[in-house]
Amino acid sequence: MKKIFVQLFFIFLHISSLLLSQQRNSILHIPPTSAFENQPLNIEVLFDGKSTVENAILYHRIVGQSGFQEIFMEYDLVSWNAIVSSQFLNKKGLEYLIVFNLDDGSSVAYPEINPFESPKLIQVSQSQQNIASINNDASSKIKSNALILSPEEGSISSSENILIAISFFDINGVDPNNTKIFLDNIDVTNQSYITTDIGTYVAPILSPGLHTVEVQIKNKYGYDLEPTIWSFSVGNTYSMVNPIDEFKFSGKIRNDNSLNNVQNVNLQIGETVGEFNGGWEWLEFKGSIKISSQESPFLQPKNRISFSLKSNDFITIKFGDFNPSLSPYLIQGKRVRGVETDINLGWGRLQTVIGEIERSIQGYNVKDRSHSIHDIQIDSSGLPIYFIDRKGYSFARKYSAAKITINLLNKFKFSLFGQKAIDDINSIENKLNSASFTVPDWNDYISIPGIDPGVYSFYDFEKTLSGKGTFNLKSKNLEGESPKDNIVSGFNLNLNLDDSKLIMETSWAISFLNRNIWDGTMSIADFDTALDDNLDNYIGRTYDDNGKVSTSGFSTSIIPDLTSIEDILIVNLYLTPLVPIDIQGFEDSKIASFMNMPSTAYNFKIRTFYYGNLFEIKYSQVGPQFNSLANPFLTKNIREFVVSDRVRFFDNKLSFGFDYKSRDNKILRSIINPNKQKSTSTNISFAPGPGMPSFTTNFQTLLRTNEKIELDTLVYTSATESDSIVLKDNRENTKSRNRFGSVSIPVNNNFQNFNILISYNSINVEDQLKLERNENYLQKATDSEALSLIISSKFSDQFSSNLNFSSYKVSIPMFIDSNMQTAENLLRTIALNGYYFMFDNNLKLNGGLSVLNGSGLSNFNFLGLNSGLEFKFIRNMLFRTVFDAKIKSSESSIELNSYSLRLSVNYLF
Amino acid sequence: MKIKLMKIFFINIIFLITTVSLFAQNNPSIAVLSKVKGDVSVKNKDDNQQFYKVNPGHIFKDGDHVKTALNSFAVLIYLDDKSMVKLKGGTSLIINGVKDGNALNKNLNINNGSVKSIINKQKKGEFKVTSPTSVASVKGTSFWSVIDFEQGDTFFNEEGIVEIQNLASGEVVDLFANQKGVSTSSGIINISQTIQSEVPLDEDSAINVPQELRIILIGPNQQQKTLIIKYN
Repeated sequence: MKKIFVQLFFIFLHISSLLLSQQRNSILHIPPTSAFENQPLNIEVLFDGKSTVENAILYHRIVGQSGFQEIFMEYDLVSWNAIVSSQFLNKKGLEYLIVFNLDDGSSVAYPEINPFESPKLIQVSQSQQNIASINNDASSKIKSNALILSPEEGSISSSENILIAISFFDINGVDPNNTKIFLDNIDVTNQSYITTDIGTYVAPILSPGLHTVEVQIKNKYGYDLEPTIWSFSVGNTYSMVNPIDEFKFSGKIRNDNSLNNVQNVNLQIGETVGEFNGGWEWLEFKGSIKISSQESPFLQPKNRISFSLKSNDFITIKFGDFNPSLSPYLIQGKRVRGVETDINLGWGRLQTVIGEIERSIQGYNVKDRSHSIHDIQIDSSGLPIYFIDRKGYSFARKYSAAKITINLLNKFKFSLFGQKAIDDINSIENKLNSASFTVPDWNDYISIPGIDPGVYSFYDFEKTLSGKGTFNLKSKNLEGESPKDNIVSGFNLNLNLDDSKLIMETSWAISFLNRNIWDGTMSIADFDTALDDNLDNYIGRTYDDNGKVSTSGFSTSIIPDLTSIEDILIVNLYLTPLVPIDIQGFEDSKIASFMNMPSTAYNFKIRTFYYGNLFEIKYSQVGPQFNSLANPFLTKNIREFVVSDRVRFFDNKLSFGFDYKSRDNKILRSIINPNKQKSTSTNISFAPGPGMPSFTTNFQTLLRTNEKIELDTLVYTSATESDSIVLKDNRENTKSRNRFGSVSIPVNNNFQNFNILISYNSINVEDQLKLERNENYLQKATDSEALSLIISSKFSDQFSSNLNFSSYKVSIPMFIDSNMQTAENLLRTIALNGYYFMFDNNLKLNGGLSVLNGSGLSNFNFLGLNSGLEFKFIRNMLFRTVFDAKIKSSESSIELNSYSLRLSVNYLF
Repeated sequence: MKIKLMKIFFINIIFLITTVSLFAQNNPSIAVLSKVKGDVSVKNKDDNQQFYKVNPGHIFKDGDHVKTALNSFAVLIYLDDKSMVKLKGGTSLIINGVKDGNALNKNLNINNGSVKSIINKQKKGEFKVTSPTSVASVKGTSFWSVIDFEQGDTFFNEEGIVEIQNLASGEVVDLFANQKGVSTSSGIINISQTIQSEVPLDEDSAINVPQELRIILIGPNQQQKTLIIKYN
């Protein structure tokens, strides 16, 4: 069956190619029957073909001239037209040719064969008007292939420092000593620079008007070549530019709506996005807005609104929502709502960010999500008092950051940066009238009656309780999250040497995070006892049994009054770190203590680019207590060393890449069994050029260990106080091999393009301790193997398709019937998608079919259907719809597993 | 015997020098600097000298290193086919052109900066823009290359097709007209529609724009009249 399908597919390919090869582009042109001296001549052409014309150029010259004049033809919805100026029509005759450049990169010409060698000739009849010809009698001279470089024929230039340049690149044996350049019939050869390759003359100043250049070339054998003559104009410059005319703008509006249903669970999402860019050369602005149906007062904002101003790369100001990136240790892409400024003077740069990185969320009104009663007591007046707590909220998180950079000649850059993020305690409403909560039975707490138990909204609770009791609403140290305070500061140093071929970079940062600022700043005395239990005005001082000082520590007198710095950082017992350095470790090894401070992060990188090698060495470390509330995704407790090199050969067509990575979490001395990971990978890539096959391979070996050499012993004590011992194997020592290879084979002819992509990937994980382990040890690793074949076909500009075959096998160790076995699961896919363009590419239809077969651990089939269209119904407005459905069949049932529908409208202006 | 060996040695040396002299070619001119705004400096490949400032008319050889200062601008034109390269301020590149028959195999090796390439149909091979991250190849087109190792290289294609290869991953992508391609050092190429305001300003079209044309007319009695045409 598969064989028949494959044969049918290739027959289909072949027939399509034969049919489509009959289509071709051509130029329909009837040469003018007559042309007269000193009278303009209109050339008209029709283009017949499926391709879109990028432009049409008429090349013409007076018979005997060496170079052609170019005119871009104009399209009047029926034909392409160009008018040859009267000055080019004289009794010598006119030669011309036409070239159509098409959007697929090809060209067609009239005459079809050797148009530049054998252009169309038109005889020009004599007229009585006598015009001066710029052409010399060149009939007896050798043809010249000189190329006019500057100024362009017929161009208008400014009056100063005009470069006159002509290339002799395509002429053999130019004699520079006997080649002359004339400007307006004045010999400027002595002021010119003439070699066998080029002739140049810089005219210091020229008067406004028409100017003519003539270059007389002689070769080294003493023969004259045809002179090259051309004219250009010089104008004056005035600054009379209308600002309205200079104003440029562009933008887009997009609306997306999607409906997704997965196993009868619906998800509807709507999104409208508008962008507007505009301005002048000296001032640009950009505005954007996104309105999402997922916006909710109970979540962080999904809507976005922003506006930015930029002036000549010197100043950029952004308002609203933006994603600043100052340093990975501060903020890197997290949304901020506020103001960002960037003043860049070249030698110095100041970037600031002020705003909010989280907005306040008051919480849900549903039962016990925002309020809860945690106690009922009797107050001094003998009435019940209900103690109510608050939870389920998020604080508004205020944010400010700055980075200042000094840049010396783009070779030395030094930056200082810092940030503060603090939760705004006042952003939370203490009482939510609509929030409901459970009022427990007073009998469980007190002996006098309270209100009836049940679920009340706060408003109803307050009303019901009136006259029967009171309540105490907690205002700080609430049940929900605690407010935080965070500062980070550091520096960045960058040396850029030898034109960016040698770059050295280093960054260092330290963080302080206070996880609970409800109670504000603590006193120095609290600080003293918090660190060493002794109120002795020394921090870190320890004593022996006789009361003598064994570790000196340092005096608290060097610490400023903590309340005086609470605007910068609130210091109390919840601050991490209270002291950034391990005081006891500092006395053992000062350097190690400094380098391994748990609340610091740093990196050092050297990158060189010599002899086609991009070589890089990098060391980075992020301590376990380093925290930036503006970059929560920074991986902590990690140190990494990377060496990589990529070398390229044969004009970058062949490249070899190698990298070695070592990573562990042994930053603190207290870590006994650190997780270690070492990987080496080699990459080879060969891409000889467009239209040629290319391949990529990658081999990676990954060693992972936790350095445990013994089994863990767990002691269980039963209710009868008898102990039992269990040995648990937590040792990890695995070696993974990841192999990847892909080959891309393009097959092209004039009208069809095919690309065959074959890729293979296997991952094999080997337990190095396999022989030492218990037979019932469950391996965590899985092996997998994937193979895919993708055939992308473009049969014509209208029709293309993708055919995809793939298989994926995964082996999973598991207990089957109490025995450790390796179970296999195999997934096989075949998918065919097609795309068809109609109405001058204004309508695109696409559809596809896919089958996924799963066998092994679980047996099932998925049948997938998809279809869609894109319709450009007016200029720059695009309507797009996509439908996708998947039907699942298993041994027990056939059901519609999922479907999705997406509609979008996009308008560019 | 010793004398004979010496003779053979010297004959060989003379033969070698003659052969090298005959076959050694001068480094040919490949391009000319046609416009300059601000400071543009060049260092030759073979000379050990420092960068020196250049003016319009400067001839480039294969391997010349060109730098434009901030707020400067330069235009250079290749000699074989008039392909044009416009350099914005803060650009550093090595211009390569190897003669192959009547054509040049062209390559711009850019370390950083922004360059607009207006490439006429190549007689042989492709025109290439190479950066530490990417290679853009074309046969004839107009496109911008904004090279930045940290942020990724950005290519704005204005017409024709530009093939972009990411050197980290080997991924090859065709960029069509009015498309933007961002090739990052992590090996990714992202393609999107060009937003015009993101495209660098072509200062060549913005500077020295003449606003007045004067044509001097001479009558039969040698009296002169000037026709002034003003335009925006």
